[in-house]
Amino acid sequence: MKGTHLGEFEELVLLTVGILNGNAYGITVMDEIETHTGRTSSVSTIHATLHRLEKKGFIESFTGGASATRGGRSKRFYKINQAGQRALEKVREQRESMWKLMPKTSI
Amino acid sequence: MPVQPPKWAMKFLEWTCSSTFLDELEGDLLELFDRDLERVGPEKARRRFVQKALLSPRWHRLPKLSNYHPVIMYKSHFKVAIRHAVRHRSSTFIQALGLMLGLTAVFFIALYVKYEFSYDHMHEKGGQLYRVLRYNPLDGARGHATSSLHGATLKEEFPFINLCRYGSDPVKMGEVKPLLVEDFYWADSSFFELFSFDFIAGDPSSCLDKVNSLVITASLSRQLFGTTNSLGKTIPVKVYDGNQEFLMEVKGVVKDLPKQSHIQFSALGPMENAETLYNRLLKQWGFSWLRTYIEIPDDRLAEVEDGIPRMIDRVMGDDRPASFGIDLQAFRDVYLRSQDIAASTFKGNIRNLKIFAAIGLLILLISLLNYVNLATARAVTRVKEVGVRKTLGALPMGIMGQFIVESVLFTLVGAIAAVCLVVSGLPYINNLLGLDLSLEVVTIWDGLFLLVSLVLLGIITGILPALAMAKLPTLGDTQAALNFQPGQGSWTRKAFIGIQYFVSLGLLVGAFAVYKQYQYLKNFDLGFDSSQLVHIPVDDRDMQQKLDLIKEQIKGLPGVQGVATTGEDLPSELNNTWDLNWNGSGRENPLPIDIVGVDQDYFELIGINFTDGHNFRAGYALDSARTVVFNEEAKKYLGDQYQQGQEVFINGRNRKLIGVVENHHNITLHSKVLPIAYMIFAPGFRVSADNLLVKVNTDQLSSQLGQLENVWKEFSGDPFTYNFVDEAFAEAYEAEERFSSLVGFFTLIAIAISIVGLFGLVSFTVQRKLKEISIRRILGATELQLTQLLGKDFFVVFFIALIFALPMAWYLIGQWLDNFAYSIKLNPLVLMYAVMICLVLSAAVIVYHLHRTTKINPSTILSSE
Repeated sequence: MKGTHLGEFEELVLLTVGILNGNAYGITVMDEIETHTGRTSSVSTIHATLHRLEKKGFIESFTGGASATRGGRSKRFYKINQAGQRALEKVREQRESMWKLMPKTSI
Repeated sequence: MPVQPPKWAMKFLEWTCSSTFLDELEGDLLELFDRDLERVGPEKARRRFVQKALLSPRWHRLPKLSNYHPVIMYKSHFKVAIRHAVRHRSSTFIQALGLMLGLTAVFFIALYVKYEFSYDHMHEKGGQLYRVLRYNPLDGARGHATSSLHGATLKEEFPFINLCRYGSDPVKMGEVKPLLVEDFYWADSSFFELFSFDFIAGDPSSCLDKVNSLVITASLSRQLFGTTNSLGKTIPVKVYDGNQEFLMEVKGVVKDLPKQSHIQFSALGPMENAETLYNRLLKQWGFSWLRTYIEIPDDRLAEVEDGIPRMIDRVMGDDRPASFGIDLQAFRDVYLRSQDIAASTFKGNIRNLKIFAAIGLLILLISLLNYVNLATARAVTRVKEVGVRKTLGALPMGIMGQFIVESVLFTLVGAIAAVCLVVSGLPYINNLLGLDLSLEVVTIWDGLFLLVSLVLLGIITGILPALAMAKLPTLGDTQAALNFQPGQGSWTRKAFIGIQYFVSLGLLVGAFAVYKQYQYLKNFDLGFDSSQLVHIPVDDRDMQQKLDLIKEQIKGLPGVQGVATTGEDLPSELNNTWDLNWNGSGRENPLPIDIVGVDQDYFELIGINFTDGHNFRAGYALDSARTVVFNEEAKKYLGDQYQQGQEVFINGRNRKLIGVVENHHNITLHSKVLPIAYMIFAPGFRVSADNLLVKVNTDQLSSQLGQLENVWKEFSGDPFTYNFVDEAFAEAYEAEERFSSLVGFFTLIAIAISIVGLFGLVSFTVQRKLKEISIRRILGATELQLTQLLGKDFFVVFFIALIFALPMAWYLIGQWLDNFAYSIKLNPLVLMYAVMICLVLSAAVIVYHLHRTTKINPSTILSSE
């Protein structure tokens, strides 16, 4: 497997997939990111990032949920797995340990 | 019906997204589209959909070339290609031969074109250098001979230019073993600032600064001093025209000049010396024997060009003759684009180069078509192989890949063979065609360009057979597959043969015409008898004084049939054009007439007759000085007013017109016969006789030449030089000869390619129709009938090609011939020859193949299955 380093946008997407808890597919992820961060991104960019995360082994995908609004096309849902959880926690720990070292004076 | 996104955008998604990801992508985009419909309305929604679709392609979901593993397959393709090539040796050989011949011709032509274009590109400042030309605004004539004043005035008007004048003056160098140096030039000290020639010794910037300094080439230095290390040595230099001797010191030794330079000298002296020799040099506009070069800084060319008319007005004022003008020619154009310039002797010719480039492209075209044709025909033998591959799951892409790899391989092998052929054959071709090409002009970039274009060519030529094979029905339908004949009977193959015939016919007609034109020029009736005439130049002014004495001596030699003296070489350059006037000419402007100094023996010696009046009378020197003989062309000037013995004014001096002689071509046939006045001059003028013409008995040539040399030695310590007039005329058409032999050579290659191609195609046709032929033979068909059967297709194509090729060739050759002052009338027989050659060769190929099959017993063939 290639490196399992999490890029900034990847981290954001992975977090969102976790938040959506089973209801994550291209559009929901895109919307969720926009609500929380105000960042707009194209759905194809989200697809590419999801694909990358899946390749890195942080999320798993399954198909389902075809509906009329989608012209009968099925959705590809993504779900965070153990490795994904661990990766997110690791990032968070790193950030927190670094925050602790931040001098208080700088406001 | 609800609003839908544009269909083509959906198609685009299908195209750019593999099926694994298509549902996800389409689904999400459609969902967004529905959302947009509600929010922003149908129009905007559709636009947004298109935008998103167009931006959707991502590397990871591009459709893969479905299970096609290029690397593995290429290895297999190579192996199969080589096996196949080895198994079908003869057709491989034919295919490779055609390709190799074509590429050889193309490489060779490319080398030639590149070589010619590389002329005069060795100078650092090349792009800023210009040659100053005399220009006649009345008739557009240009000439390269300029006076010293041309350059000086330009330099005065435009101080920012760098000026170099350069003038030829034959000299004799050394005393003990004197050496005649024809290509000695006087040059301004700026010479090596403008031109970059490599120095062996000496300082380029100061080597021509002082009077009596001398710059020589390495080989002249070796001849004179036995070494190239001659810096500081002195040598007496006798200038013939100036009739004066200088003791000159070698201040610089340059490497022998590159051949691709139109400036060629073996020694240079400073212009100051010339100025002391010729007092008119600095004063007279008419004293034109210099070539003038200037260097103009990049951005100021327009300034100079615009300023020249003003400069002429200012300098010449109202006295300015209407025929006076100055033109500039880019230095790098000199070699290739000087055909219109008077007395230009450069062999380069941009028009001929373009013709060669066109021929090269045509040859490339036919050799590629040939290859494609043969490859498609060959594919027939591979129906089974491809069928099996398809059954085993090969996809069209894979099959095509195989054929393309094969053709790239073929092209590269053919190219390597062609390069080897060009490299090893270059000395022979140079020798054969009188060229001196070298590989020096080829750079690494040319090599890279070549490689890339070869691979591209391979791919392009591979596509057609590849497509044909990819269309092969899958082996499920065995019968259909076995009957499948790729490309057979299709118009493409016939069109390809047609184009080959078209090109071959056109080139053949062209080669015939060019050859005939060259022969015509060479064997043209010049109007005088040039055989057995020996021409001896007498450059030394001292010796010219004694010319009559020498003449008498030679006359007395056994075997000498006649001697005459003349002021012009044969062929002549006619560079003394004077003014002609007569009482009642009714003209303000005098007419130009060319002056040839002769003696009274001249006309009889070269065999031209008087059509009116009589020759100069011997022994009446004073009388001769006031008389003149015209040629017919000059008599036309006078028209009705012509009277024998009338008075004419030549450069203002009156002379009695005592006779008229037949026109004859004393100049080369590149221009028409000009009006000429023949006169007798005392020695010591520019127009005075400075050549001896001796009619010898060719039976004892060497002994006669020896006797002539003995006479020469009595009068002069200079080396004895001579040439034959008929040979000199033939040499004047060297450029035409070279062109003719090159065109002939490439035509041969083109025909060889076409015939080789035809050979291959016929052999396939025969193989395919083997059974038909056998059955026909059993039933009693004659060989002639079988030839008709096989040849029918080819001949129909041939006649269609002929209908297009002949008129076109006729037209283009007519255009080409128009460039000559004297040209052949194209004979329709030439067309017949070309057609006959093509027909006979084609028929021979077919008969050869038939003959081979008829040697086999038909029953053997029929029972073989």
